Amino acid sequence: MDALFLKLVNMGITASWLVLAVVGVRLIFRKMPKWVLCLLWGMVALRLICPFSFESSMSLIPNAEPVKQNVIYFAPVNAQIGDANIEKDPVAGEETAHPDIDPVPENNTGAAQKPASAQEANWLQYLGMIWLTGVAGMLIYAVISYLLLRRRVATAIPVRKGIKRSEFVESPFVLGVIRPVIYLPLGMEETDITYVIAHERAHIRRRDHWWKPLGFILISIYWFNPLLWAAYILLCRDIEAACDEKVIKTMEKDERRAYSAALLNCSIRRRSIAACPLAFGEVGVKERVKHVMDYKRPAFCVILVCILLCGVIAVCLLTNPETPQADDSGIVAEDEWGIAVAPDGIVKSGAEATFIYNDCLSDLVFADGFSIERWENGQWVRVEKPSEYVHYFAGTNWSSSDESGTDHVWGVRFGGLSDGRYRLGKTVTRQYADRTAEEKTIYWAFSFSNTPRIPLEELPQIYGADQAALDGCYVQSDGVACENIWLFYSFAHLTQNDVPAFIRIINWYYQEESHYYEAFDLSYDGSVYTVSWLEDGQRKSEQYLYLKHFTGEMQREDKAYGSYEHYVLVNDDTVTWVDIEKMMYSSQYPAQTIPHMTVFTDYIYYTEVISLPDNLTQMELKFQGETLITVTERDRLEQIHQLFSYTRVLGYEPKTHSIGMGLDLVLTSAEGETLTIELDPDIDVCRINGKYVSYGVPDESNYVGVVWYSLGIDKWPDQVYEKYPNALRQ
Amino acid sequence: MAPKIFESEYRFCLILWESEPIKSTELAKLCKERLDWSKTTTYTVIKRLSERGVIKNENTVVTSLVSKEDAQQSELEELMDKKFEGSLPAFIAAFGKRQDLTDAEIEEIRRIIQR
Repeated sequence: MDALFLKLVNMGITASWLVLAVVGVRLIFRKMPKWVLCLLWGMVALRLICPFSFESSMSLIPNAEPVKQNVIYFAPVNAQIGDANIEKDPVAGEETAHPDIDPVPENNTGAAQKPASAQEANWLQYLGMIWLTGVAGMLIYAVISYLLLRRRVATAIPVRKGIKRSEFVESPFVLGVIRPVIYLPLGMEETDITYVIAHERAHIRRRDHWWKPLGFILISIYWFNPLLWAAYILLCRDIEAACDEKVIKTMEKDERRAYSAALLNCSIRRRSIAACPLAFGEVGVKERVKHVMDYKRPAFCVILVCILLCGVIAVCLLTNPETPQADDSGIVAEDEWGIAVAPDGIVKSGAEATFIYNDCLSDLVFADGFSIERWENGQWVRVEKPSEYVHYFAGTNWSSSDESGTDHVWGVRFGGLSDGRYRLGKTVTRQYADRTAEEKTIYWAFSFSNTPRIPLEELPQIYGADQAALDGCYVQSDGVACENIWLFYSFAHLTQNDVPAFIRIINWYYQEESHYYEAFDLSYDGSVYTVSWLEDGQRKSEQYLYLKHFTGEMQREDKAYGSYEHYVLVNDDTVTWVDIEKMMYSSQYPAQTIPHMTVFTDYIYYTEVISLPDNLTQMELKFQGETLITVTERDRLEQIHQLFSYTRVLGYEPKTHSIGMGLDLVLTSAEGETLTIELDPDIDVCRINGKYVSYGVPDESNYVGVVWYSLGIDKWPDQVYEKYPNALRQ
Repeated sequence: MAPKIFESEYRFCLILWESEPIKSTELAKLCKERLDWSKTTTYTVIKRLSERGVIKNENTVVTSLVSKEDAQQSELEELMDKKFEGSLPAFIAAFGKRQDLTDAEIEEIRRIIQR
């Protein structure tokens, strides 16, 4: 009901534009045949009757839906205060990199928007009732007037076929929709009668006895729109004038005089009565007489121009503008289930958007997942995730309830969407007491914009990693991927498929005394990558053709990280990571600088840990079976224990190593267990039970030295150097 | 003074004077033929006229009380207040409404016609 009223308001507004145009045409083109004007009024009626229209790029209507439906909140049903159905999602750990929606509790409610209170929401219902009352009033007036008039002329005497005369008729008119009858007053001159009948017959032939009542019905429905009342008044005038024209168009001046005289005669009251109010739609006699006397048949080209004008107006104002904003986006606030939908808004890339519905009935169950659809070419198209490794969106959801009902808030972060209009759909199920269930989908519409929330120039001094992540930035910490890694993957996937995208990169550096960050905007326009940043307040940018993806195992023997992943902007598709590394770390390529920018770095550490037996009693260094050193001191054994607490099992065999030459560390525990660690005299990689293990936190320290320290030596025993002269020395 | 008879009623009376005494149902049929009146209209008129003492309706037989010679046609002007309040409903197609034109306005319009 309220939706209907809103639709009518919108239709009335769009029709009003057409009315203004017709009024303008009426003023400018006075010579226009009146029947053309009636045609234009017919277009107005069409706009008012037809809820749909064609969309055309030439439409001049500013907005097909000026009053948006989802701006209006609907009063929520008085929900039972939910005690049983508080859905609190399980507390999970950090948001993982996985594409599926992991419930993660979020404390941020900054983006939440509460819909209007119940009081504000009711005004639409009040308006709707007032409107309905108005419609009823007008229609009742019409019906009563019609019946009264019919009764008055019930005793009219037929004069000719379709013409009756009655003493109760003041001035001639036509009554009846299906079988129209002309009613004449008594005592009319014979000459006048001829013209009057001609005029009224013209009314009948033009079907005015249909159009005027139809117009009145439309006025009854749209009674709140003053422009439409003006349109109806003008329509009535134009109808009369059109009938006049129809009658006199073949008449010479003399006949026209007689016609005008008839018009005048019928308009004079024989007795002047004090102040009778002007009838609604009354036609001015003087204007009509003037028009009749001055009338000249319009030339054919004039008529042609008029037809063309009608066509132009029809195209421009009878059609709706093409809507990138979806009209029937399915945004409905369902009040019978008590769900009030938050309005649509603009979601920025990677930023979190919250969708709220509150005061729901407590027996509603919301499905876990949701769907995303994009408005394309006039319809909603489903957005699919391209692969399980690329994230279009990660979702979080939580709900809370307070006295007024149950609130459900869904927070979703979007990335990897291109600019446009979307809607998120969520399925809601309602369980009834009789075990039946009803299901429907709620939609939220939003516009997605690949622009950052804060422009580079306005970023604050301190832009914490958490806040940056919430704003949809990809954050690195000391050069390693830290937050919103999935967002970068989306960016990479999109751009590598030639889809324009944008991402902001925030690099935090904590190693220094004073922490600082760098911000980069990386965008892709379909062919070229542009990265920009600020240098001394000035915006600088560079362009690259390719974003290359490098992964591999860490090959550097003194650091065993596991695997690395880099995304690098380059201009040369054939560049390899080895090239870049060599260029970075070696002096062999001084002249050749490969222009590049590493924008993404991530390392995956292997987490498998070899744990040493707890109660170590003894440690022996053996070389080729011969025990060279034995250690039993508690604190030295502690050292070894500590050293190996950082171990990581490598998934590969390091390229160059000297493990297996017989240099072993044999540990014995109190229980009698022994563990043999095969050492390499050079690097901090060893082999335990056949697995290659890196011991030590990867940084510059030499952990072989720690082994020495635990053993109480400062270099390997001589036997080792005999067999392996290149072994590490102090 | 003889009771006033309105124009439409006069036509009715003409039929009655011609055919009385006549059963009301047959009278209604005649009125339908000659005046295109519905049955309800005829019966309403019969009732109105009998209340005013113009005709008599006894046991469904209708006779006149006023003779043709005595009947007067009333002045149409006096019907003004019975007419439809000077204005037709908006949705009726009309030739021209009765307006309160001042004499000056009437003169002006006549001049436009004459030129």
